[in-house]
Amino acid sequence: MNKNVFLLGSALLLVLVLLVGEALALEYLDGRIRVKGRIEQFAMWGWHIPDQNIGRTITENAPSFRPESRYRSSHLVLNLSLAAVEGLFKLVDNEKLLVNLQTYFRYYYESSPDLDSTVHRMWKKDYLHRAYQTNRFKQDDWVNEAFFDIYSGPWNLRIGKQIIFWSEVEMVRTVDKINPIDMRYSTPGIEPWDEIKIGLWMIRAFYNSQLPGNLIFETIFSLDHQRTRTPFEGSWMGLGPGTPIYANHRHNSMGPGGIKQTNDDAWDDAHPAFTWSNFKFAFRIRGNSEVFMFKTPYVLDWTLSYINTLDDSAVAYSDKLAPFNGDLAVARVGGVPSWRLPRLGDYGRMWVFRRYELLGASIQTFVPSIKGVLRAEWSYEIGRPYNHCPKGEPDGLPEDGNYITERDHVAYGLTYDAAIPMPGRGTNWFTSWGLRPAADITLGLFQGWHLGDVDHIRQEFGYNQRSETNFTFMIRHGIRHNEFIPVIRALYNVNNWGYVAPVVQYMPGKHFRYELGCTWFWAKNPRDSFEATGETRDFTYFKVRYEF
Amino acid sequence: MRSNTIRIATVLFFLLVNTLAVYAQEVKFPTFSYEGEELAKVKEWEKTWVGQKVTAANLDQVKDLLLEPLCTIMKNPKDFGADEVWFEVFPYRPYKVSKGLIESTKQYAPQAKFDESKSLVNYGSIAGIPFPQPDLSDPVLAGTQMAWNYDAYTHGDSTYCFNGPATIVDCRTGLERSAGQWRWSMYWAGRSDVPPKPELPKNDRGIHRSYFQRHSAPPDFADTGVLEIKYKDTKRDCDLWVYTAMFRRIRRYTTSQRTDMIDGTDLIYDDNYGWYTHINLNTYKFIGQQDLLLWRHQEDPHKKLTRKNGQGIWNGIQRERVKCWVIEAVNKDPNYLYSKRVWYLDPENWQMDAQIIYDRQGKLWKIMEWGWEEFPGHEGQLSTQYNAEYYIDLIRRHGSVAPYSTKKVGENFPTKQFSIANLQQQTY
Repeated sequence: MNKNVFLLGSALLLVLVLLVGEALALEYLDGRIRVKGRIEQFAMWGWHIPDQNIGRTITENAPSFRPESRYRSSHLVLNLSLAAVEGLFKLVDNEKLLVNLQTYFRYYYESSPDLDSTVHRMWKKDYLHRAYQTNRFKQDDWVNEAFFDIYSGPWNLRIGKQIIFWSEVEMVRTVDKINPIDMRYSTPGIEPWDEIKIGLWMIRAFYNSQLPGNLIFETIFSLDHQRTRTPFEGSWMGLGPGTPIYANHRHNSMGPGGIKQTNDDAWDDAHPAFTWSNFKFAFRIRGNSEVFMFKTPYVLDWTLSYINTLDDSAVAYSDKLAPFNGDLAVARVGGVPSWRLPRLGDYGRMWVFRRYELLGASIQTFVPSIKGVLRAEWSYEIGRPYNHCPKGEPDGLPEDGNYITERDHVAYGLTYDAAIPMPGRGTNWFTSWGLRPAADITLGLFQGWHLGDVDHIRQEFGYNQRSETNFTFMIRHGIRHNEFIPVIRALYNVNNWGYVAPVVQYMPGKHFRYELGCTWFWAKNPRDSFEATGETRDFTYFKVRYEF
Repeated sequence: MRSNTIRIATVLFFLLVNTLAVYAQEVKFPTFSYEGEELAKVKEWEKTWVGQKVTAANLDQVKDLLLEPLCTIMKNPKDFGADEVWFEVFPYRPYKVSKGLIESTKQYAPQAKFDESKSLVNYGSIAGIPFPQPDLSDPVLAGTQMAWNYDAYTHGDSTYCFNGPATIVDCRTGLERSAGQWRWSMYWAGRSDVPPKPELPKNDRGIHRSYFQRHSAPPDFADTGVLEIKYKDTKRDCDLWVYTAMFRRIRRYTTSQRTDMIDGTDLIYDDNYGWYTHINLNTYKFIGQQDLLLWRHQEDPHKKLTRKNGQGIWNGIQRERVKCWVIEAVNKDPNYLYSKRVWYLDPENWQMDAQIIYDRQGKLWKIMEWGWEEFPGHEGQLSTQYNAEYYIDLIRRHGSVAPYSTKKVGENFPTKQFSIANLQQQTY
C-alpha cells in the first residue's frame, strides 16, 4: 500500500479514536468562537467496468481510446478521505459594529488510484497528485471559504473567499451561477453544493433597506475566475484515457494520450490571470411582499438578479485548435512512451473565456390550496459564447472565419415541495417503528431553450437540440425517529436519459453519520448531455462521517 | 312605622341585589389553586411529603396525584432506559401573576366573546386571559374557553432562551442524539406586559407571534435557522422559512403538514410547547379538575435534573400539588395523527403543565411535561418560563429531554430579529 495512504489512514484513525466519546464543547468565550467540522470517508463501487467505450465523447469514440477494463482492475472507483473545519470568530461585537471572520478549510485525498495498481500505473504521479488526488489543483484549494463578515447598521460587507447560493430550486442550476463547480469526484444530489462549488475571492455587499418589501440590495465584485472542473481523465466519472495509458504531457517526457488533460492544460493556459479584465459583477434585489389573490394572502419571497461574468467554460479558436488536435491524434496513434506531445505554445491562443450576461428572477411562496411551497426560477443568458460551425458539421471550420459566436439562452425551473401524510400514521404499528407521519416530496420541471439557430453552434452534447426538458423527483422519509432517512432522487430528460439515486442515511448517535446509496444512469444517446454519459457509470457509494 | 320598615327593607333588598350583580360582573383573576380550607389540607399533606423522594417503592402512596403514564414509567424504569425514576415533592407555591396580565385580563375579559365558530372575536386586539371564570355549565363551552385562556398567556410577551443541551433518546437501544436551539419569540398582538399594548403599532401583516430559532446541535444542523410567523387571522396558516446551513439556502417550508415529526424528536410541529398553532383547529371538552403533582417550579435544571445515558426522562423533577383544569382536545381533521389530547392547564396562569396523547386507535401514546421557573421581565414583572421538559413515546419507548436557560424576558426585540435577512446574519 502506498506510504501516503497508510500515513493518512493512520492519522485519521488516531483522530477518530481521540474524538469518539463525549460530545465536544465547540463554543468558546460565550459563543465568540465557534468551531465545527467533520472527518469523512467516501467510497464508490462501480457496478461494472465497461469493456467498450460507449459514446463518451466525440473523441473518445476513436478506437485508440482504451476501454475501461483495460486500465482498471478494481471496482473501488473512488476512495476519498476528507477533513473539514469550519470556524466563526467574532472579532468585534458592539452595538454599532459586528465583525466576524468565517472560515472553512478542508483537506482531501483520493486514494483509489493508489489502491488499484493498474490505474496507478496509468497516471504519472505528480500530475495525478496535483490535479486529482489532493486539494492542490489550485494553490488555495484548501481554503474553501475564508471571509470577513462585517455588519454596521443596514450594511453588511463580506470580503474574502466565498461560495454564493442564489438558487431556490434543487438539482438543476438556473440562476445560481456565481461560483463554478467541481465535478471531479461526484455529482450534485450526492454531494452538497458547498462541496461542489469552487470558492471565489470577492467583495460582497448587502444593504438591508426599510423600503416596502424589506428590500435587500446585494452586489458582488470579483476579479477571481475559475473554470469548471470536469471529471479527470481515467477517473470513474471522467473520460477514458487515450493510448498509451499514461499521460504526462505537462512534463513532455511521456507519450501521447491524455487528451482531456491536454485540453485541461490548454484551458489553464487560456485561463485569465487575476486581472481587471476578468471581473465578475453581480447584483441582486431580494424582497418579501404580501399579495392577495382570490382573497388569499400570499407572502412572496422574490429576487431579481443580474450577472456579468466570464463563462466558466472556454470556447475555441477552431483554426488553431484543429491543427493541434490533428498533431495530438498523430502522436497518440504513435503510441510510444517517449513520444513527445505537441507543445501548446506552438499553436497560438486556442481557447478563450468569453463574457456573457445573465438576467434572473425567482419567487417562492406557500400556496394553501395545494398545501405546498411553489418555487420558480427564470434566467435569460445574453450572448452565451459558443463555437461556430457549418450547418450539420459540428467539428467543421466555419467558412466565414468567425470561430466564436453567441446565442441567448432562456431557462426556467419550477418545483413543488410538500409534506405528504403517510397512510397508517398514528396507528400502533406505524408508531412502533417510529415512522415519520409525513414524507417530503419535491416535484420539479426544468426547461431551457436556445434562441437563434442551433445548427451553427458546436455543442459537445445535445448538438442541434434547441431545447431541453427535465423532470425531477425527490422523496424523503424517516424511520425510527429519523435514525434512518431513506431518500430517492430521480431525474428524467425527455430525450430519454436520466438517473435514479436511492440512498439511506443512518444517524445512530451524536457524531457518526453513515450513508449508503447508489446511482443508476440510463441514456438512449449518451451524446445528449454530459450527465447522459454516465450511462455506464452506475455505482454504489458509502460514506461514513464523524461530525463535531 | 310599618310602611317605613317596608320601604327600608325594599331599598336594602335592591341595594343587595345591585351589589351582588356588580360583584358577579367583577373579573376575578388570578384564581389560586388552593384557598381557605383546601389550602390548609394541602399544607397538612405537605408536612408528610415535602422533601420526600418518590420512587417506585413509595409511588402507590401518591399515585392518585400522578398522571397514569408517569406511574407506568416509574414502575417500569428499565423500559425507559433508567435504573430508577424518581422525583422530589416540593411545597405548593402560588404563581406571582404579572401586574400587566392582571390589568389586561380585567380590562378585556368583559369584552371577550366567541363568534359562531367558537373563535375569539377581536383575537390579538385584546389581551389578558379572556375567560378567567369559565362557564362550567357547558363542558364544550368551558373546554373551549379554557383553550383560549391557554393561548392568551404570553409568558411576558417575549423570550430569548437556549433549549439545550437536548437529547433524543432511544430508550430501547440507549442510542442518543444531541440537539440544541437558541430561541427568540415575541408576541406582536395580544400583549399584556410590555408596552405598546395590546399590539405593536406597525403590524400591517397582522402578525400574532413570531419565532426565530438557531440550531447549535447536532453538528450537522448547527447554524440552521428557523423563522416562523403566526398570524392573527386564525384561518391563515403560519409562514415558515428555514435557512439550512448544510445547503446554505433560505427556503420556504410548508406548515400545512403540522403533524410531521420535528427532526426525529417525539414532537410533531403542533406539539411544540403543548399546542403551537391556532386554537380553533380543535374542538374541546372540559373533563374536570384534578389534583396533581406537577412540575411548576424547577430549580437549576442543569444541576438538579439527572439521568443516565439512554434514559428518556429526568430524575430529580421537583413536583408540587396543583389543582389543574383538564380538557380534552380533538382535532377537527378526521385524519389527524392523534385521536385526542388531554391538556392539564394551570389554574393560576393557564399555562400547560402536562399533556397526554392518544394514537388513532385510542391507545395511550405520549406524555409530555414542562418544568417552569418564574423569571423577571419588563419592570421586574414575573412570568413563567420553560426551564426543562421531557417527552416520552410510550409505544416506541423513545424520549426527548432538555433543560432551558432563559436569557431575556419582556424585551421588545427589534422586528428585524424576525426577518428573513436575519436568518443568514444570525447563522453561519
